[in-house]
Amino acid sequence: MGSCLDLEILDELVDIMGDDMGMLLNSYFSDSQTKLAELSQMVIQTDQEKIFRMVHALKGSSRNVGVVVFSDVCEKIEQLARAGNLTENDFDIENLNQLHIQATDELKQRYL
Amino acid sequence: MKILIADDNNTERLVLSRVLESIGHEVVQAEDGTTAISQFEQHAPELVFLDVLMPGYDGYEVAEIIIKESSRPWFPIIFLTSLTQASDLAKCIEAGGDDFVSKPINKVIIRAKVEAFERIIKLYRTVATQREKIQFHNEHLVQEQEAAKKIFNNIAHRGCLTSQNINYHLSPMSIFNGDLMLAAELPMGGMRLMLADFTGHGLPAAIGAMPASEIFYGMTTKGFSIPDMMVEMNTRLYNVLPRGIFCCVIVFDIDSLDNRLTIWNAGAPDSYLVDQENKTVELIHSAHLPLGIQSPQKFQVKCKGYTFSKNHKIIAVTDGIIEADNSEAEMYGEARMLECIQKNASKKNICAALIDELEIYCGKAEQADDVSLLEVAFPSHKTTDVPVIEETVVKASGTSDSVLNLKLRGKSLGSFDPIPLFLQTLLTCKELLPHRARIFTVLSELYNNALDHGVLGLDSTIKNDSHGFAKYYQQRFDGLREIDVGFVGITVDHRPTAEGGELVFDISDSGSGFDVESIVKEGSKEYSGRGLPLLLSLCDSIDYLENGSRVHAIYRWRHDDVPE
Repeated sequence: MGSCLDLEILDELVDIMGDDMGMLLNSYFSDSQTKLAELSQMVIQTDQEKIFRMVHALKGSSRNVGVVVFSDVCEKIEQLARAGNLTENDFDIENLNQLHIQATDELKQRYL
Repeated sequence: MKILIADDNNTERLVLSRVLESIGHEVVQAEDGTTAISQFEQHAPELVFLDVLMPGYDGYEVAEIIIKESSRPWFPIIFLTSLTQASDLAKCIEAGGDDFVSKPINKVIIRAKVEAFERIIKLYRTVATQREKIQFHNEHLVQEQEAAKKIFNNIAHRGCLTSQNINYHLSPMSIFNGDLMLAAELPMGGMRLMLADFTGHGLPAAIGAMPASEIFYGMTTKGFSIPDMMVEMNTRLYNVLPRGIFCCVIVFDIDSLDNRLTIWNAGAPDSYLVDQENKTVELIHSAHLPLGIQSPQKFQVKCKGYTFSKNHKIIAVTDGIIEADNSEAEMYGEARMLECIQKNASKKNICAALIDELEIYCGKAEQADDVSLLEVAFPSHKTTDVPVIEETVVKASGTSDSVLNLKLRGKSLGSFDPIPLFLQTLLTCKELLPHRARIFTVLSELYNNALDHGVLGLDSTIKNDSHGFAKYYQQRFDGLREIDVGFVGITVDHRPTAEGGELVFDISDSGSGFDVESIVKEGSKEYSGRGLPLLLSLCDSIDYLENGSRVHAIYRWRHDDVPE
């Protein structure tokens, strides 16, 4: 199975952060988990603006640490939400959780 | 360098902080817009990174607020954004940002941008420091100029320019004016005025104006004629002015005893002699190069003489008014000026009418040169009542008991004016200072009668018709230039008396004399032409001897003479 991470970005991060790489990743884990939990409480009909902001933030911080597959899904949702065209079919929290767990597991395995 | 990072995303903030710290910068962090503003105020960062989307104030709002509120010198703002649409990026710059970087953060790009902005910040600081220095020097310079201006104004003072018969306009272009306007009363009544325009304006022009002014007031008080004064002034300016700086000048005496205008225009625009009764305007052209150009050996002054009465006005201008531009860069010009003077010829204040018209003509066009205008009417002196001037008196000093004797022969008659010499010597007796104007009048009337009517044989009745003065003056000028025979002898015997002293004037000339009987008779034209009423009112006695070629006059003064 191929990686769900962008290893080039991660290589540069290791270069920048050095020994603090673990601290950075832990900060990402807790931050993104909180955001996902909040996201799962949101309702398409009334919270399109909130959803847009939340997935935008998730997209940004995830891409930052090379979590690209998850980040790309966030970006799709972000664009739909921004235009106000988000539907139940596109807003699949379960799938997001799955992709996030997959990425965090791989990150832990490689860098912690 | 201290850098503020405002980003609600922890990992992004951490990564960016680490990149900046690794190249030696100090980082202040804020996780939302409100904190960013307070951190900015507290830490005064030199560079600011702002995330676009943040809770509370977003990046655009933070940028607007800190730019508006800050009194600090310029600081760059760089937006962090994962937005990619051109309109979103343009908004970063519109909100006051100086640049933007796309996320995720790239170490190399961040370093390059920060280095570039560091260079710009340094440049800004250098400019700010230099501006402060320039400002400081400029303030210092203005203070110095203000102080210098006080001194300048004391030397180049306006004299009697505020007299009722004078209207004038002087508009200074800078602290010092390149135009100089001076006015002094003549020792024997009447006035001398000078309007001078130095090339350029400001300090260099003002420096040249100082010796010119000193010479003007010094020599006018001592009774020197216009030619003698201008020779002195040209010599001084020729020596002190650098090449390329010179002085256009109009100088004139209004002799209120003889109703005469004596004028000399050197390089200035035409002057205007206005006859308010006949509504005619005569132009007086420049007859010489400006001062400071010709060497003293070549310099020669030939004045023009005109009849000048209560119906006349003389208007002198500098080129500033003629060259004043309107909004189409078209000059006001001499034709419009003459037309305006003719139109307003009978007005009491022609000067004000001209300035009003000039203002309308120029509109909002910027003034490029000094504009100076001098308008002089007949001085309202009592011509037969020369005042005793109030001065501090010291008893029995200087030449209080002396005989002065001078005989001028041939060419010397045309080239030397003995009046200032006599006056200076007599006035070393300080008791005579209050009588300066009277003594000057007696001496110059007696001497000029001897020279004009005795030696040159001029007929004073020429002066009686309207253009007589110009004619008389021309004859006198020609006569003095060609003279090589004849003499005038002057003896002034100053003796102390019990009450004060007496000056006995004995003037003789080589002329053939005149019919004393008929001329001295009151009411004849010769009588007033020779200033006899005035002489009789000032002297205790006047006697003509040797068929009128010799005159004996006594002027008595007393210790208790008080100024009138």
